[in-house]
Amino acid sequence: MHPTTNMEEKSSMKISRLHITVVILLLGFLLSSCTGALPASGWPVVSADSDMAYVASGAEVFGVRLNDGSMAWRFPEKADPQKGYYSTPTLTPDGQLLIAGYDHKLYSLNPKNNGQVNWTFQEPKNRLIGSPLATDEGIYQPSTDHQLYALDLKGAKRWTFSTQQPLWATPVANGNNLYQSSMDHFLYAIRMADGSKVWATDLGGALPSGPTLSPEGILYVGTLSKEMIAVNATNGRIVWRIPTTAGVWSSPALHEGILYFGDSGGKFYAIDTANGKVVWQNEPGGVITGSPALIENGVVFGTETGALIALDFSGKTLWNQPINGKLYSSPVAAGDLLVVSVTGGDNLLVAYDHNGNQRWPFTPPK
Amino acid sequence: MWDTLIITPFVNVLLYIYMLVGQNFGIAIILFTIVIRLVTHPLTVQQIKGTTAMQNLQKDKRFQDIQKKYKDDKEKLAQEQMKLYKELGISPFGSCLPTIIQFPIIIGLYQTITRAMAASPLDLLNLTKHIYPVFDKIYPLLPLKSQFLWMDLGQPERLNLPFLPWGIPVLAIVVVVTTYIQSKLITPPTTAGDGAANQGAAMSKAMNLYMPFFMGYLALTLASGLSLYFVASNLIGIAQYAALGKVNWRSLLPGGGDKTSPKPGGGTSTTPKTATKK
Repeated sequence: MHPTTNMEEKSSMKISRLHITVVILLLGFLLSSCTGALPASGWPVVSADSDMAYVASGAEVFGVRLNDGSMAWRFPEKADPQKGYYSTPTLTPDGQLLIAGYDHKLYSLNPKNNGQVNWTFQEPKNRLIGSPLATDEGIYQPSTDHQLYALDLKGAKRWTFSTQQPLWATPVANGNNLYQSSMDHFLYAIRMADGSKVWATDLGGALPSGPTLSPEGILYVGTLSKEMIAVNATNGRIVWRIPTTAGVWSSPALHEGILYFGDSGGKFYAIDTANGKVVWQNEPGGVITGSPALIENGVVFGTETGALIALDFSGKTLWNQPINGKLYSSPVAAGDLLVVSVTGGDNLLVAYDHNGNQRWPFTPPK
Repeated sequence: MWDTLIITPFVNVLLYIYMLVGQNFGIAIILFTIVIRLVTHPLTVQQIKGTTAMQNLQKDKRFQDIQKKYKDDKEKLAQEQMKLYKELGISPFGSCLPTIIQFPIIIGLYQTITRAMAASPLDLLNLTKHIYPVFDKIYPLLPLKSQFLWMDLGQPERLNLPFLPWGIPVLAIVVVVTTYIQSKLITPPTTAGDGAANQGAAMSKAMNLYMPFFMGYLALTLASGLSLYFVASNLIGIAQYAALGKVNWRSLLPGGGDKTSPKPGGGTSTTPKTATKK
């Protein structure tokens, strides 16, 4: 072969390799950036005690002072973008702060000591989407590995309860039994002492949120099959069920015999618990996924379109505050404040008084 | 626009298949891939025809003469090539246009499967926004059951055996093997000795080598639902080429299908073969 041709071929080979590298990088970029490996996605969520708000948002959890909106601490010290915290931070009766992660771990932090880790529970085999229930007896952590884990307050496992599909919802308890919603369509009653099943009722649709338990012993739970259902907590029998226009993603608020909740079709309902009749409904527009917060004269909820809306108990609008960003999570009443976490907005957390006046915004410092 | 034209119809088709096959998401992914590949089959046929025509053209003596004659005059070379294309009735875009049209469909297919796996509240909420209002029956089936054989289709796959301390990435291995076989089978034998053909052959060889490992890496790290799609897509691709008689089975044998033999110094010697024009 002619030397010049040989050189040309070598040069061609170099160009070919470059082309291949570019093609592979482009393909990799397309495959990963278009959608990727089921990214850890969720919306920020907030809880509060008398002087602090705790917001879990993606790779970090923040402790924020309620009096001025300043940051007290962040967890972990160095954020790992591969991890995600999207379950509501939960305070235990003995003052621990529990953080459930998409990294399959449950963390116990000390909220009064810069969020330092007390212990970590690492047994779950999949994401923790639902936040735990914490009582004097222990901790009950739902997991997407289909298990409900019961722990003592030091993080040691007591028992597990298995379902057929992931658990996204926080259970509720009445002292003897736990009531656990599951994505397998069943609402389970489980004995708190040993994790044995009391009853299970198929509600015909996935249950992404926990039930609300009334003092009369009735559970109210929404489904993705567009229903709100009342279930007798003693025997699991359905008391009534009413259709909604779209899926119900959060637990209803209960006030003086009336249930208040929204659906992903943008409707907000007030339902008489006695018979399941609609007392009134309101259509503020925009997907509603969070539970409403109860204030002294009404309810407050957020919409995907970025509206924080307060209605009185008769359905009349008290105030409506536009927020830059999307409101997927439940606003939280903390003393004379309402705090709400924001998805994709200028601020991560905004605090209002009960009249809808902004008190402070919080943006995590770099 | 993208969502309305591609993702939303695809999501509804996939969910409909999922409903028809008794809520088996693994089977639904395989059938969905087959359906989409069948719909785009005419484009694949056009693409193969275009590629074959271009390959034959490169063996044509007139084409090779033009390359040599006008190698220093790019403008004239382009003019003469266009003349030859017209004379032989070949469209220079005959193979790339169908590929370009298919590309968004393949990306859409991939995105649809990812979105349907919805393993978090935000993902599931977004999935419900794609469901047509008339398709009410699907709501009781959400979220999709991600268990298929030993796999959770929302997680990277590993087969855990009791006597092994680690899991075997079976699906990633299958992805590597099927990608390699597919690329080997559909690569035509190289014959010509000119620079352009050699460059193309070298590129194909390198792609045949790198691509399976790249796809294997993706399969190792991505949700196994996507790996299942890769495998289904590879096997359907082989079947499509085989149905059109374009599979070079000999290329799976060592040294098979390659009519050039390497020579010291990086060059190649060409087995004499008369170029034929179809």
